[in-house]
Amino acid sequence: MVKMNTEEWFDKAIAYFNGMMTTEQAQLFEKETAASEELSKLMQTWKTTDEEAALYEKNRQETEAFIYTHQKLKSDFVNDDVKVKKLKYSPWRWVAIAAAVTGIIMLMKIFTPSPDKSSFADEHKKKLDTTHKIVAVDSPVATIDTQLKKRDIQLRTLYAQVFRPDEVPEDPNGPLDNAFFYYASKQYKKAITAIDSAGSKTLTRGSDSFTPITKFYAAYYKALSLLTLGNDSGAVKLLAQSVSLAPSAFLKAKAQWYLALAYLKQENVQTAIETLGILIKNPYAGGYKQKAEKLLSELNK
Amino acid sequence: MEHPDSKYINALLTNDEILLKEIYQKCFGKIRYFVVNNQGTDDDAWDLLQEAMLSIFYRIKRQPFMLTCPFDAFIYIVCRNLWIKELRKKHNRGVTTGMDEGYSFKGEDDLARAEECAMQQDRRKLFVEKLNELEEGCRKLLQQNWSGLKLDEVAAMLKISYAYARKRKSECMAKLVMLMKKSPQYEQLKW
Repeated sequence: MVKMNTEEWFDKAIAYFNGMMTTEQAQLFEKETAASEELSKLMQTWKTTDEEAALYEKNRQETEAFIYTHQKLKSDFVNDDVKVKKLKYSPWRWVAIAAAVTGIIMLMKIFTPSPDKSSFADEHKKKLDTTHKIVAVDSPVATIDTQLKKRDIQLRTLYAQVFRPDEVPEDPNGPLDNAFFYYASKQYKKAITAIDSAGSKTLTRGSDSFTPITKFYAAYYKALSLLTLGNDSGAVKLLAQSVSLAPSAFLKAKAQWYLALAYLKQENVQTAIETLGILIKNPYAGGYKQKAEKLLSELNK
Repeated sequence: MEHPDSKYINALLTNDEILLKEIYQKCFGKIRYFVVNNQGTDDDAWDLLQEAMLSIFYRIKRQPFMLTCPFDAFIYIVCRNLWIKELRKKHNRGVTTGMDEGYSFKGEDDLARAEECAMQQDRRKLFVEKLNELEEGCRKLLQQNWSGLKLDEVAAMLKISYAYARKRKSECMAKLVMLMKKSPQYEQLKW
């Protein structure tokens, strides 16, 4: 069999796909094509392109609609820092700042001796001075606040980057199996209910049938569920409990890692750093040690 | 068993904004972290996510499949594969694997499908690029035929004979495949 070059192949392929070949010619062309890896790939490219191109054209409207939605959502994600700022520093923060400024002014008034007798003009002048003071004090506060906002956003971003809910144990069978099922399918509220229910069942039986590891898992997975649901203080409490309940050094490291993250989420950076420092010293921390070191270096920047 | 995250696949197919937003909330942070740590920007990450979603959309349309892992994990892997290819194309540099790669896959199927999605998207990019290099007459004929019109309908619209339309389609396809073959990316793609 004489091997075709690609130019010859394209000439024949036009006739083949055009239906201009006899059955024998078509069979011979297919055989010749199959004998060469390069030509087989060309044949496959032709067929796949024809098939996939039809798919793109037929779904053009749907994909354009999707692209429109995707671009519409962009501002919610790519510029989310701006949104975080707006949400986080809404009225309450400004009320607090205003209260602080007013407090400073009041203290200044108390500790600044004023003349016994003052004319209306002096009083008026004093009021004007106070107004100027407010303006003057407001400026550095705003600068500090901007820095705080920036730091907050950095912390939130950092948390979002590192936090991943832990997986369920390899063997999830036992009193917490329902809870593990809900947790694995990200139904965190149901997971919490299942953990609580498993706990109360052991109590009603009159004996504590929870093994140490089950006790640990109950506290740990409830804490992770709470953290995911946004109940950070509840999570901190239970994670601290998990650290002391952990039946092995590795499980302790796991709990410490998430405890540090919970502190980070609460913007309690100092305690997060301390917790990570303890974790790093744990010789059985495994992969959590590297994670902790990396996060620590980010926090110390 | 169908994974609960299958709802996101339907959301993609039906362009459900609320569910799309929900899945983006789950996965975009991770994708952004990966891209930004690998010579990209936030905007690159967003475009990459769009590309990945489109590739999944086409993959499902071509051959529906059952999701067996969380959808955010699946998107992440598709994005990672696409970005690695993009970087290799641009700079021929290695990729930093972030510490956020906490996803686990139960079987090879998900990884293989994710790879397939990325591969199909690469084929699509090459195809679109080369289709635009074709002369307008060729491009129109092919696009009309691909959009679902039969060749005799295309022939009637273009006021040419059916036999000529058939011949022309083969010639145009040959030109397109030839252009694709000449591209440096062709050898790296599976067909």
